[in-house]
Amino acid sequence: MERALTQNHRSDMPWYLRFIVGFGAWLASAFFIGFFLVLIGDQQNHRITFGVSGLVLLVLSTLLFRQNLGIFVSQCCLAASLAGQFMIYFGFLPEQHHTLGTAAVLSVGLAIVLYKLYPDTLQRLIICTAALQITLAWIYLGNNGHGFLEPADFPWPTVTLAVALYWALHLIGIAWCYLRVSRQSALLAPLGLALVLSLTAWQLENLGSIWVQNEILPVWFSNHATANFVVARWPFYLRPICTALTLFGVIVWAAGGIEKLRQFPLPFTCLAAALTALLWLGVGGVFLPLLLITLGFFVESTVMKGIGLILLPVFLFNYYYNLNLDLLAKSVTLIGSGLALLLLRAGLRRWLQVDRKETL
Amino acid sequence: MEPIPSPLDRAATIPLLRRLLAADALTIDEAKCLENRLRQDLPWSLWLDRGLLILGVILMITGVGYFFAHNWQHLTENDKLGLASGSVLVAFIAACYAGFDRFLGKLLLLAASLLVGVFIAVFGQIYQTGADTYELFLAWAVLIFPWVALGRFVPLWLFWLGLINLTVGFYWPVSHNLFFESYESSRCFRYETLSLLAINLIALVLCECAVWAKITWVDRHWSAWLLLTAALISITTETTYEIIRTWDGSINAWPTVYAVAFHAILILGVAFYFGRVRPSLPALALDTLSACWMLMMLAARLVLSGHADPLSGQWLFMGFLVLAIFGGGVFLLRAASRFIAH
Repeated sequence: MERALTQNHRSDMPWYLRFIVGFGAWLASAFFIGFFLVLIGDQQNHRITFGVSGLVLLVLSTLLFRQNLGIFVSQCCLAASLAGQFMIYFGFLPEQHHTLGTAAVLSVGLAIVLYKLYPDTLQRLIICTAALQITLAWIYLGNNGHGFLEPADFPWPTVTLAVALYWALHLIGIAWCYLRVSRQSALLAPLGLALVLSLTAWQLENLGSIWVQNEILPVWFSNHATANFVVARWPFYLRPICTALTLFGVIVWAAGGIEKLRQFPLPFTCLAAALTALLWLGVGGVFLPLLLITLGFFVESTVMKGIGLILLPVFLFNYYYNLNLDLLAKSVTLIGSGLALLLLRAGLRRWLQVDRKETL
Repeated sequence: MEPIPSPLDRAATIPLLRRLLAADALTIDEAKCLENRLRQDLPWSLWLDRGLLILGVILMITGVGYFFAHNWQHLTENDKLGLASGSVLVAFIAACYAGFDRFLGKLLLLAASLLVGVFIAVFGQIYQTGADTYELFLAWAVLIFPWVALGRFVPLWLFWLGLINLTVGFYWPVSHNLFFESYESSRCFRYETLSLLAINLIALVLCECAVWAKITWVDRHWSAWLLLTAALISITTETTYEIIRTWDGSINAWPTVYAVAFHAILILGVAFYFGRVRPSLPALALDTLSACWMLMMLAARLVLSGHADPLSGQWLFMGFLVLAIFGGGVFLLRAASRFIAH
């Protein structure tokens, strides 16, 4: 057991020393890559050569990394490997047709091969995140960046459904990586974190554009006599519904499974009602940060918790900022939301019997 | 430095259990059982309680802020000044009531110091004094200095030092020489970085003197590291700037020589103090990083400059030089860590 705990040879070096080693390795690698670039010359006319050089660099760095020659060499290998992958993309992607499609296939292929052959956490994290994001770009933008053409008479918004399915696959992947206890759990941890990062990046991308437009902005306070709630068309609710279901599932899992759900049906019913209410109010975007915070807490992943804690205020700021209300109405909304949370806290404290000494 | 504890003495965590499972040190059932037990002991109710409290308070405070923003134009100037100064007064009185010796009192004093800045901003908005930015920060620093001295609170001192840094940073671009002309940009930048270096270095020296004088509330390793970081960033930026300025060899190189020499003396001084006098590996790591960066920039200046299109061999040589520089730095650091441990 002691050997298993000290398998990682970096465990005796403080993190700031590892940072200096990594920093120096990356700088040195940048100069070595510059050497390659100058040697090859005009890359535009020698794309295939560039690509083949990248492949050679990738193979050499993988072989050298597997020799386990220390942290400095491993960081150099990582920098060289990433540069090699970039050179492969540049060298082998077609310039005009099916660029993104080819990039998606290439990225997924590289991720599968290198995940097995290059057993480094950071490498696995980077290649998986890149593959996920490139595939997402292909789904949104199509092969050449102009989007996929849908048949005129096709009743379903294909891209929206494909995007929702891809989002659901992310969530299923996260649940698979983190909720199962198996011998592959440690091996799958970088993939799980890559899925988390991909979802986070996706959410951040959407917060600035389509996602806010299509899934938020109910009209709560209006000038008309009756409230006018904007109801988004149903496909656009698929993603927050999937996230809400996953969040509910994670909470049930953390509480102890289906047995606890049967034992305490009322709290879980209230939770489901609260999630449904948030969905109906158009605040579905809050489910992802809550999911990350909850899952990160119960699998003791500081990185995931941190991502969730950063994403939550970003979402809340974006949501309240884009509310189509004047300052007074926003003020009332914010104070009302704050009061609701404090009342919820007061109600839960009696039920949870939180020790007063432990609170602020 | 304390000896590294045995890995078996570490607290169990879920990621650790999964690593043990992957290494076949545990069976799946054992891992599941241990994980469930760990998960039950996690203080989730405390996190939920604090999370709801913090989020609720932040939302309410933001709502109050929006309320004042909505009514700002309808408030008279006396109302605005009254609100701003009233909040400072309330925070200070609360700090006095809580007591400056208690953590809550110190936090309230920090809040009062921050609110003084809000008051100055409101004052400047109402009366349009036309003051330069550095004058506002200087006024802020001067006004809160008595509280900083009373508070004996390291974060408050660092905040005050931050204000002084901002004052100096904003001063030089608008400063004039004796003949009422603006300084040229290179000289302005040089004076700015050297001023910041001087301020942070003096603060570090005073901090260390206070530690040697057994003033206990000052003795925080992280504050010394912060001050050292600020000082090293200043001198490293200045040295890098001087090296880049002379890249094509057309400008007088003597300022670069002086900058590099001074940087080297500072690095050696810090290495001696934090290596022998008051050992601290993180401080030595900061020092090493600064030294490696300076050496790398010097090497790049000597190897790569003077060529419109550097040859491939120069890039290769630079790569090996950087490997040697950083490798040497880490080697010295590891030797220092063994020396400190013994």
